Amino acid sequence: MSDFFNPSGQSPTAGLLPYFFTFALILLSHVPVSMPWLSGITAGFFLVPIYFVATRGDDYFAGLVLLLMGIVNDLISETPIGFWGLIFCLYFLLVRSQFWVVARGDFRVRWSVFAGTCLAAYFLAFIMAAWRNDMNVDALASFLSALVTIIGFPVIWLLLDYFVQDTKADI
Amino acid sequence: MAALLLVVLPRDDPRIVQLRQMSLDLLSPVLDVFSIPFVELREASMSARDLVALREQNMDLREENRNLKSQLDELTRARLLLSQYRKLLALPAEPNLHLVSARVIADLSSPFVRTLVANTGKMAGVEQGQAVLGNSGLVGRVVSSGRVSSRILLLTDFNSHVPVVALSSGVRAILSGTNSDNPELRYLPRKAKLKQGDLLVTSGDGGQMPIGLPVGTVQIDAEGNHSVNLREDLSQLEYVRVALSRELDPPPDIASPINGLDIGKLATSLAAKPDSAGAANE
Repeated sequence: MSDFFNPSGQSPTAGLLPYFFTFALILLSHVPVSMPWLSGITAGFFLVPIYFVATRGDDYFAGLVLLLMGIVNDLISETPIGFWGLIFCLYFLLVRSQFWVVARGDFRVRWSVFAGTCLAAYFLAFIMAAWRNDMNVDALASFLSALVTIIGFPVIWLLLDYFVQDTKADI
Repeated sequence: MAALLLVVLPRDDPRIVQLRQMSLDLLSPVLDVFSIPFVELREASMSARDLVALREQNMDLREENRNLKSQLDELTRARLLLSQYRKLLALPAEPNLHLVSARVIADLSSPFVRTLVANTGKMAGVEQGQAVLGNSGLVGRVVSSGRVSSRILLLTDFNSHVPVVALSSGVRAILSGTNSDNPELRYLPRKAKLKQGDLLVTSGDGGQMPIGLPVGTVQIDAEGNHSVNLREDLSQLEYVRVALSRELDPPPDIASPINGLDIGKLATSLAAKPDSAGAANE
C-alpha cells in the first residue's frame, strides 16, 4: 500500500492522509453554515491537500485518485460528472509544473504559488461553466470563493503538515 | 481524457441522476453528522440573541397575536363561503397540502449550482417534482429523491422555472432563476400591469406545483425589468417542508343539500323553467 501511494517509503497512513483530508474537505464544503454573506460561495479548501500531494511529487496514481475524488464531488454537488474531476486533474498537473519552485521556496512562496494556481483553477471552472448552458456563471462568487480558499490555506496546510510528519515541507 | 469525456455527458441523464441520488443516500449520514456542530453553533447564537431581545420579542408577539386573532373570524367566514361556493359550482377541491418537514443537511450552493439536500426521501413519500417550502414561502422543488435524502433545486438556480401569478392583477409569468438572489419574471404579457411589491404566488399551471403557494414580491428596476424579491431567505434555510402530491378530491355530491338548499331539486326546477315558459306562451 505504501509503495502504491507513496514510493518514498513513508507509512501508509501518512500517504493516505492527504486523500482523506481531500475527501473530508469535499464533504465539509457542502455543510450548510447559514451565513447570508457566504451565499453562493464555495471555498475550495479541498484544493490544499491536492496541492500538498502535488508538491510532494512521488505518488504514481495521484492523478487517478484525484479524478475519482473529483467525480465524488460532482456526484454530491450536482455539477456535471467530470467537472470537478477534470479541474482536480488539471490543478494537480499545474502544481506539478511548479514543483521545483515550490520545493525550493519557503512558506510564503508556497502560499503565493497556491494563490496563483487556486485562481487559475476557479477561472477554469468559470470557463467550463460558461461553456455549458445548464450551469450558473457567477464571476464575483467564483473570485470570492478563490479568495476565501487562499485565506484559509495556512490553517489546512499546517494541519496537514502536523499530521504528515515526514513531509518535505519546511515552514 | 476520461474526465473530458465525462464532462460532456448530459447533467440530467436518468442514470446519472440515479447515481447521484444513490451516493447522496450513502453519504447523507456522514453529512448529517458533519452538519451537527454548525446547527448547534447557530442555535446557540440564536438563543443568545433571543435572550437579549426577549422583552421586545414578547411585545411583538403579543401585537402579532392580536392581529391574527382579528383575522381568524374573517378567515373562518371566508372558508365557509368558499366551501359553499365550491359545492354550488360542483368544483373538485384543490388537494390539501400534506407537508413533510426535513432538515437541510447539505448546502450545495456554489458559483455554479444552487441546490440543497434534505434528510427526507421516498420513505416519507417524497417524489421528484414536489414543491418545497420554507417558513414563509416557496423555496424550490425536489429534483430527485432517494430512500432517505432528496435534492432540492432552489428557485435561484439557473435551471429553475416556476409558473407564477400576481395576486392583485392576475398576470401570469414564469419565474426563472438567474445567477443572483433575485430570480426574474419571464414571458410576461406585453401589456402586463405589474406594480412594485405585488405579491406573487404559484399559479399551478402545468399541474406540477399546488396553486397559491406564496413566492415573493415584484421588484421593478429603473429599466423596467421585473425581478422577484423572494419571501424566503434561501441562504438561511435550516428546515424545509415538502408538499406531498395528492390526488384531487372528487367533486361534491350534487344531490347533497347545502344549508337546506337541495342542489339537485334546484337544478331540476331550473331545467324545467323554459318548458313552463313555453307552455305559458301557448
